[in-house]
Amino acid sequence: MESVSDRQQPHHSLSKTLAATVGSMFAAFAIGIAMAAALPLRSDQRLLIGSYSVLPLWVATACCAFLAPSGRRAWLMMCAAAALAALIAFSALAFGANSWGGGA
Amino acid sequence: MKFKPRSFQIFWDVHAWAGVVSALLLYVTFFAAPFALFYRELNQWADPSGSQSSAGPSAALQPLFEQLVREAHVIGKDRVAFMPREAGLEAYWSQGDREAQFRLSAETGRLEPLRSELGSFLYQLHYLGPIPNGIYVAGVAAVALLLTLVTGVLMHLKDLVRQWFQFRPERVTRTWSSDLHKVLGVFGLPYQLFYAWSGAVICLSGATVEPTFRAALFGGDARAELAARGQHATIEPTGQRSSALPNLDALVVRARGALPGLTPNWIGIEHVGDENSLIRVDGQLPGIAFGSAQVWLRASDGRVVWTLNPRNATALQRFEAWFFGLHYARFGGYGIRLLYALLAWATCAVIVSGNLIWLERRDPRRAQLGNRILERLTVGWCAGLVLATAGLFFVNRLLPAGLPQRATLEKLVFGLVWLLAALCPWLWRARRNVAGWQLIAAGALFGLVPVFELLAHPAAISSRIDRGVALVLVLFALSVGRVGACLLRAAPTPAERLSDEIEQIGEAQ
Repeated sequence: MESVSDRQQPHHSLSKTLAATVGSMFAAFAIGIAMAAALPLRSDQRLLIGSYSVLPLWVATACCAFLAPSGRRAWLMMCAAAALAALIAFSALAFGANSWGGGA
Repeated sequence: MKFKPRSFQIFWDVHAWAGVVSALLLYVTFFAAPFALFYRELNQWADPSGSQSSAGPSAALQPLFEQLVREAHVIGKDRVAFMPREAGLEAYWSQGDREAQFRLSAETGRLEPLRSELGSFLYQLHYLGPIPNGIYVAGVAAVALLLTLVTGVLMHLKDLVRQWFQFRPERVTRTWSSDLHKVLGVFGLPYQLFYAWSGAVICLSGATVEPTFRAALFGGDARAELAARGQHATIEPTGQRSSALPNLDALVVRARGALPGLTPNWIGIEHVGDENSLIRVDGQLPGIAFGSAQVWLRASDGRVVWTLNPRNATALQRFEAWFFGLHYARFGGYGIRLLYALLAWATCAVIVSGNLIWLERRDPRRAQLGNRILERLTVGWCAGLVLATAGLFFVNRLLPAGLPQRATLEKLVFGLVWLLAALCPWLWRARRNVAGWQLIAAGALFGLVPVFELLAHPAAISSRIDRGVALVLVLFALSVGRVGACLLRAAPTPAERLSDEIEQIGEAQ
């Protein structure tokens, strides 16, 4: 059983570091694309927010991954974020009203 | 706001590791940043004929273009561009990775090849251009800086105001380096955050974000993506030669007609001589902050095919004008650029003190091989870069004006001095003294440049740019020399060291 002091340890591992550097990058790109596809704004505004937020999002998701209790949890968080964002982006592109020439 | 001990420890570790891994690369980018801001002035200062050839911005372009067609055989090149500026007119042609730069000589009225690339070389160093794929390495380092800054802020949210002002230079290395790191880090935080973000975007976006968005959102259609971004689509050359050369001066007049008030500062010919060739005129519109404007014209018939007018630009276009305008300091004149320069060098101090904190906190006796290597690398790399830059400036004034391959020789001297300086900490044990002496030597070399100039070419120092560069070099020499002298000062006494240790134990409890 995990003790309290164990839970307070950072538990750095290669798996968690990879999730925070590589996994977070995929999650950030997926979220950025989802924002560009799905936000209810004009096309240039969506593209602006989506494309310019990718790199700050990479850093933010990396911080979240580092805070995860284990490498497996970090990968789960990154995969879940990427999958959810991809689903939103796909739905918006396939069924949404947003287009790349017009308004919101 | 205070985090749980576990979260604090994680942010601390991420801050330390991301910082130490990217520190040496970031040091180069920030050290070279001020030179990049003034690279045109430095190119003019460094060019043996440049100092006296400040031909104003209003030269006729057509004879110069025809000169390049005749002598530099620019037909078929990817691009020829002219940059009329206050400091004089510059031009270049590019073909793939190859490029040649020219400057308009007031004496001959002709474009002369640049005989020194001091300014351009230091500009390239800013984005690690001299190493293969260096721009991507610089981009990844910028992302690491962003991560370091965010975790640093999260760690110190609870006492950010105190860290702003607390500096105790009389204490032991561990204390004063930590104070210096936090004071300059907090003061420069907005600057560092913005440059980490914009630097990462500039270096990485074109290779990562744009292709991914193009594939995901536009099905790989580059034209649709450019249209959404509000940019002109790139053109493909047909390979068929156009029957006549475009008249550049007439086309610039037409561009001004399309956007009244436009002050051109960049005139480019894309795919020179091709029947699909386009002329691009970039400039500023008055009365608009970051009012970058563009007019594209067809070279064959002079028809305006596209304009970027900041008065009716989209949100994305305006954001990008501000974003890149702030990064490249396209506002506020010399005052802002000098402020940026100070902030960049202060960031260098943050980076070096960060490595020092790592060493003093984790391994004050340098018992581990990795930390011994880190210490030697930090000293040789950082102080060595200052010395190498001083050597570059000095050798620029020392080499004969007419020497062939002058620009290559300057870069060779720079590389050689940096290599030798980087080796010094591996040969001498007193690393702090090595850094101190290297900085003093760098200060002496920087200081000697204006003296040498005054003795060898007293007439040259009459130009505004020469006087400005001489003044900045003297100030830089004094500052670098002073830092070197501080490093050579005696270490704290055992009593001071003990007092600091007791205080730090108290703080930790």
